[in-house]
Amino acid sequence: MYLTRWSNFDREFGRSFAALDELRRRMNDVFRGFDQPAANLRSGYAGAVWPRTNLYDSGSELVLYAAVPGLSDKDINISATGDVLAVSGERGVEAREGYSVHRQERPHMKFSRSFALPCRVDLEKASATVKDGILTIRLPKAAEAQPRQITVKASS
Amino acid sequence: MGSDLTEDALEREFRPANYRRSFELPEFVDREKVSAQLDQGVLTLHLPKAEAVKPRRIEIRPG
Repeated sequence: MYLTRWSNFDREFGRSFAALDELRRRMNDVFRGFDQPAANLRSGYAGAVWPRTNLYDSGSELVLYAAVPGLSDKDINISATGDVLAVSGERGVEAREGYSVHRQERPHMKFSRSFALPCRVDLEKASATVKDGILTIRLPKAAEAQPRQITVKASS
Repeated sequence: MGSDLTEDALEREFRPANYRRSFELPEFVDREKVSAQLDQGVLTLHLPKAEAVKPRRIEIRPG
């Protein structure tokens, strides 16, 4: 299983060099392809990362969005340890019985992705919802990862 | 997704985009009866075949 690694280095790098960031993303896709040939064969998408995911940091929590059109809460499993989040599940076929298939770009597939989170999170307070094809996972940061204000004192 | 958010993006694999895709339809689709629905992020288009082309059962009568 490929582990997507998110780090502060990536974040700063991406901010500074938007074009390079895009290049980096594409390179990552290429390497992902090498990393998980077996998974890709299983899912039927050579080189594809699924589901596509965005990660945001609000300061006090991490919010992860994944594009999972057609999936309901029953189709998705989420598990986590302190700083690794795993999302897996299965997408069925929507064609009704009795229909013959002319085109199938969204076949039945199993998916599985893991993410190394950039900081420790409080799993007790984590929550997940799925609506309109978007999975939202909210991961409040662990106490030690919460932003802290440091007061500058005048030296006497 | 997340365009309405103030959070900083740490990683982005999808973003808001314009899209357009065309599909060639066979003549026999009844254009008047095409319908569409959007559910859980999946767009479903129903393209009924015109009555004239639906498979019809032909009875064999005893001769």
